Amino acid sequence: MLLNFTISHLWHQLQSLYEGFIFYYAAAIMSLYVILAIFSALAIRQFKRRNSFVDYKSILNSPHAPGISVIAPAYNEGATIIDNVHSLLTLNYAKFEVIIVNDGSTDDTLEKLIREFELVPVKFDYQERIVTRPVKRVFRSTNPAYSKLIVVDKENGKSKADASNAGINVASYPLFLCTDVDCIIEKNTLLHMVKPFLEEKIRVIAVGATIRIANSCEVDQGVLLRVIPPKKLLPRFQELEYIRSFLLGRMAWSQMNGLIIVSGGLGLFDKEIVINAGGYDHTSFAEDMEMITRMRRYMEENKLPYRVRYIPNSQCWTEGPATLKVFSKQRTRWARGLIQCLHVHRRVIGNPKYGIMGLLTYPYMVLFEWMAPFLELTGLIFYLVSGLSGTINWTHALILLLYVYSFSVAITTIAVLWDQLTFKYYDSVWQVMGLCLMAIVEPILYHPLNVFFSIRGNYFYFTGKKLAWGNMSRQGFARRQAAPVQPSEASS
Amino acid sequence: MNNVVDVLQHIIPYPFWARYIAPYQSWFEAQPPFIRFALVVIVLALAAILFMYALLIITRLHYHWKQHRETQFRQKAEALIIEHVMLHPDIETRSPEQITLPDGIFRQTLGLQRRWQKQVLIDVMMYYHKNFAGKTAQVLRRLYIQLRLDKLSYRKLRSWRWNRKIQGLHELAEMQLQVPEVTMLELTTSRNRVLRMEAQAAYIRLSKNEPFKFFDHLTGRLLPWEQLFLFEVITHTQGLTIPSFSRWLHYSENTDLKLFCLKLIVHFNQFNAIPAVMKLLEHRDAQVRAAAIDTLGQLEAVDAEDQLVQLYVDQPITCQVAILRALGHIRSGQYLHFLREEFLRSQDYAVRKEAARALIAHGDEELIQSLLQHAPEERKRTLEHCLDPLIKY
Repeated sequence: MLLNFTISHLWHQLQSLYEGFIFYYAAAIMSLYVILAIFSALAIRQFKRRNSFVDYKSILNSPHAPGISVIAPAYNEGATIIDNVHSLLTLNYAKFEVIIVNDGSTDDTLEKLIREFELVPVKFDYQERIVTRPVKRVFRSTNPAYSKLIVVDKENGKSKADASNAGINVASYPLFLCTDVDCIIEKNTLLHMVKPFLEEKIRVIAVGATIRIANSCEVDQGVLLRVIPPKKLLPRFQELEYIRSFLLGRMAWSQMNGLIIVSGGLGLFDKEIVINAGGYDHTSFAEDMEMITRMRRYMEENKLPYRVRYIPNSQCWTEGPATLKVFSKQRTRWARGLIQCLHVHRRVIGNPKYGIMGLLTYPYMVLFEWMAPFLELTGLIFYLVSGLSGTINWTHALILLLYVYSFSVAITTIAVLWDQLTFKYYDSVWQVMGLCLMAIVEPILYHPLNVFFSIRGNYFYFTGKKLAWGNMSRQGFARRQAAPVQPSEASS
Repeated sequence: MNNVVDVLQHIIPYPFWARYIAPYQSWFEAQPPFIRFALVVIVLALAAILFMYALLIITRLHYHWKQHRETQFRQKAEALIIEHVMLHPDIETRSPEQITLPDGIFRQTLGLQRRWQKQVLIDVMMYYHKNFAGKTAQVLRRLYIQLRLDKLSYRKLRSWRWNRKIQGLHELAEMQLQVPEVTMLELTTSRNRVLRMEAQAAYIRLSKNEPFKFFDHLTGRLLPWEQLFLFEVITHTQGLTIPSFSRWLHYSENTDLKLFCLKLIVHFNQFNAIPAVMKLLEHRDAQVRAAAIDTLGQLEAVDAEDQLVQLYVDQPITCQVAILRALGHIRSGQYLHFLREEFLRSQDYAVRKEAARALIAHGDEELIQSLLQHAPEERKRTLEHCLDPLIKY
């Protein structure tokens, strides 16, 4: 009797403690989102006003603009490589080179490149400033029309990081843009992304830009013809997630100089700092976040002032996973990358030596990015146990669910609103409204998937289960024969 | 929480409150504080969502309507400009001042009562002015004044908002209208970077006497972005009197300005600036020294060669690389031995590569062949890299 009473009393104590903790945790995360939304709004407004008079012609024509090496690793991309390289070669910029790193492809990627671009091996003095798998040959084109192209053929390093590092070793310019060969890059990307490097009083070490989902967009020969929101459910949710994450999250962190993620799909970097920081870590599953952390650590440890900047323009369109299988692989890898990165750089967490990254960004990542899926899982278990034991107040439970849900929908709608008020990438208001309505079902259909794959990624990390990088199988884009229209033109 | 209820009671009209909210008030007040907080958040979030949906629809529809309205107006304005300016019967035979412009027809057809109408017309006229030179541009300028559009541009220049000021400056500079130099000079030192940049560009384009006077007052940073922008303006403004930029190498304390002037000296091939550039070889800032060395190289200043080689040992890598590059440009042949030694001795790849390039630039085939045969494997690879015509850097 006494034992039963004690257990029941303890359970009630535990229950109220847990409820209190979760309530305050949710309130904290919501307050943070509101703060991020405010910072992001201010940053986007400032960006728009400052850039409304910019004439990018002055960089485009200038012999004094800094050179940029565009690095795009390719592994078994034979189906699309030719279109993609043509697209990269037509970027608008005065001084740039395109470095395609063939990461030991087993298909005809290299042969196609050699044939199409009239490549011959050159006596390139390869300096291994960052250690990589051996580079076999370096190719240049005999056709002057492709004089900007360099193709590096190397042994497979089983990661994008190793291929990117080989590209960095070959790069001749002080800045390099890291991208994926299958990403569709907007023509003026280099002009837009180099600007923060030139206009800040403090050294800028990396610049990121918004990436969007291209699944239903009309694309021809690697050129984006028309921006359309994804039609399939899974990519559509991802589009929503990207808008929220890039426009609200990263823009706000950039405003506070606390940004630690510049996406692997599109990032412009200071080569000197990247090399000094040791390049990409080929063992990491979140090599983009890991490298920015290492670059920031290098700057902080050497007491060098720096900035990591982010621009809100959508500069890159990528194909998001369209099937649950591919999506699960990607998200599991991301979750595993996050915990791996937090573990490797655990000394940064709460360490004032690392400035805003140590005191704000990393604690945020631990508390609200890494911990959140676990708390959601415990919450679910708690609900079930309380429901089964009859100790749940269903009215209160529903109110609390609605509290989190309505806030989540509101935040996503704010992100879409910001995107549409400032950039207007979609033609019609109904496309935008369709996207907004997805925000209503996202917490019910999409979010649980993310939670599951996050927990799976953590499980894989803690149990040491092997996870291969692999190649994301792609479905391709809708093709249309028409005169190319740039997204910026489409939006205007 | 009760305060929130009180506030809401004041905001919401009483009949609505009494009918829809009051019945739940006692229930709300009976809830624990965290549930009441959650309920308030739910109401606010739902209201925000509905508001945002409405805002999205309204702004998008308004945007499309505005676009449509402006496109129609623009077409009308363009048709009038083509008919009454481009195809004016007297444009070939008379001077721009003698041509009679039908500004009444413009006013009658376009209205020009509203601000947006004037703004669209200004944009159209600026576009045509930019793309046409000679008489057509001058007639457009006259029409701009006759339609009193210049008043709007001047008013913008006097605005307290920096973006309006820039817009005004842009318009006046494009239409080549007079702006008091004092006003522009004041803006060239503005704390707002964008405004400062635009004012400097406008000053260069519009100043009749000394278009580079603001260089004398430049105390803050001239960031690379500003340098690119000004470089473009200076090198593309027609009829601009180019001064000797060595003046600011002597007198200015501003490091950024010195770096910028070095670029302009190279662009305009100002060989008379070589003595002033050579003085910068002793500058305390390595970046300025490296830029001065590069300038001497690009001007092929043979007289500077001895000093460059003498300086070499004590310089940081960036300056050493610049010296080797300069020797490659000058190609006098006096320091071939020095270049060869550096190529064979240096442990730094950048130095080695630049020495190899400088050696190749001298065109001494015999020396190159000998190095290819006898240099260590690592050096040979660097030389072969630089010799390959397909490798640019």
